[in-house]
Amino acid sequence: MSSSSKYALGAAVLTLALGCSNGSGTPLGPTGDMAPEKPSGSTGGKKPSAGATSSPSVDEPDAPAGGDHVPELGPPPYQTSKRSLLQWKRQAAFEADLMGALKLSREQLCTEVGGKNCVRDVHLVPLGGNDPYESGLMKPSPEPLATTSSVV
Amino acid sequence: MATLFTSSATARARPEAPGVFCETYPEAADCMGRITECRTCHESTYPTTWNRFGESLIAALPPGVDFAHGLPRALAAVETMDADGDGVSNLEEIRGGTSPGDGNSYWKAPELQTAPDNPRYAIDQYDLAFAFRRASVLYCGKSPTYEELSPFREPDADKEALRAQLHARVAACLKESYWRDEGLKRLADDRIRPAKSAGPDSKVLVVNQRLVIGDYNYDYRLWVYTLTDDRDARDLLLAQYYVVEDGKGGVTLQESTIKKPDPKAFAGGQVLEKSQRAGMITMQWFLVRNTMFSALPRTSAAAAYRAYLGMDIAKTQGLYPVANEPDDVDNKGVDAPRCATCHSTLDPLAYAFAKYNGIAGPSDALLLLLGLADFPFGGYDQGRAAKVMPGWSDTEQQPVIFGKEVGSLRAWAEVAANSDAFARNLAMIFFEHALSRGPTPPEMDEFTALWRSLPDDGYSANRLIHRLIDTQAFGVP
Repeated sequence: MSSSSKYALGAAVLTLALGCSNGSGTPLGPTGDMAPEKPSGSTGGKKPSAGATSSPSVDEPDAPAGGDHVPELGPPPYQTSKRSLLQWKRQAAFEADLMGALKLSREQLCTEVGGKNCVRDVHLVPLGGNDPYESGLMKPSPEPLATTSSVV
Repeated sequence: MATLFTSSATARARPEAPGVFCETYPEAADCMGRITECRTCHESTYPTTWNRFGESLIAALPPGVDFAHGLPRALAAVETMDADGDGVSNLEEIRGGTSPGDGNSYWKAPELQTAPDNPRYAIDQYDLAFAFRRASVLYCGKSPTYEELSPFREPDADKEALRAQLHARVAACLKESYWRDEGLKRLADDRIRPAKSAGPDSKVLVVNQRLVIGDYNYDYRLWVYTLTDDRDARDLLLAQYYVVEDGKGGVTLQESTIKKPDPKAFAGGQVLEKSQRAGMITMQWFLVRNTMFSALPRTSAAAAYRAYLGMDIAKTQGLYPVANEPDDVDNKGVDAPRCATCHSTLDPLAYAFAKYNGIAGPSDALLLLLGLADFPFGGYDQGRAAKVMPGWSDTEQQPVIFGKEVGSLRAWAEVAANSDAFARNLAMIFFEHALSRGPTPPEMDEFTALWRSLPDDGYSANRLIHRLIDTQAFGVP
């Protein structure tokens, strides 16, 4: 496989796993949910409301110089979700969708460490699963971990 | 809200306060199918400190009036105030389910948008394509294919036909292996709390016996059985049968006791007679894992209350204090003021479990050696409570749940299974699974309608899921 095709496959997998862009800069969630610009209100009635935050603009004086900065995009020119419903596509659907997209069986999809299933054994927790039996992890992580993107 | 008094020097437990609060505001989000918790007014119940809402109530309590009559008047007096300064009045927060004493807890509706319509999503409307994708991931364990989703993207599609298609797909998936073997089971993990080292496959040896304290596979099978195929979900607390594998890849029901499969293991079967059973909370694994060596099985009662009624006594939720309790029958010091706030509810709940063993030795070692007796893990022993708690009296230690006196754990479970708390908790399990959060204040009405529909739907989890899919909370992007 050429390096360019490897990158293309990698990009496709990453896009499939973490969601996709609608082509207009508005991120779409893994299950198709639209990410809110600024979630408003509480979630479940007891948690703090998300405050309005913004990342530094390249136009700000403190912004470091260099060529790696992407100008901050303005809001999309159409209505966006305000309901804070972005959801994480967890391990089972992630695996099933990859198997479907790549036309591979579970055994063919990915094995590590002498044949252990990458999704259900080796990287279960970062991909949104939990193992109550051996690890004593009774609940999955509520949101992606720092290692999730590297595992994907 | 367990303590509320006019001076910290004389502050004392007021565990009746949540009940008074909910009698005053039966329509409050935290009072429908449950009872509000102490932190509505308190930062801490011991030492007693209040949040800003609690402080405003203290200032408004009428002098010379007993607490139960004074609190409703104080609540009325502060309704229009905004104790925590978050811009939402106390009354609005009480009704919506946010905390009137916490400035970081509030709900404000998002601003109306004037931009053109989103080209891909029906913002602020029920979006069938969005719901179809979400339902597929949740209940089928995979996204819909392009072909499956395409009809939902057609601009002039028949919405009723698409809605029928959505429900048909979900109905099919609820019968398939992903939901039964994986999706639904994971919702039980934190309720069953299995541990391989002490489960049926344990390799740990103790005095030549395998450390099997129970077989949690019975618990998982009952969980899946009751929550599939339109069965009555109250069997989670009422089942008097065991769900066993039939050897052909399916399951069958068994009403007799089940002998442990490995004579060299401590446990691993089901030992209770039918009349002593109450679904998940009398499974051998549940009783042994939670009661263990306790004389009074407070942990079993608290675990049952938390897992199947949605209230965590450790978080001062679901307090229905019983007069003259706790009796401190096992001399643990729980009648101290700092403990009594919760134990006046917890101990009467736990009395119902006191005749069920946790980890227990055989009554006669000789019979054990002769193979005529076994380790009575999770078994029923009419005399157990009096044996392990010398102060125990069957007349004094009256089991109580939700203020109702009951004569047995079976009766306890019947009250629990028919309560609003059970229905609300069941709906919350599936709501949180679907949305990764609880309902927001604008969603409370449809959430309440969801759990209140359970009796009409025969307590079917499947029908609950279909109703959930139709909610705005589920289908509006």
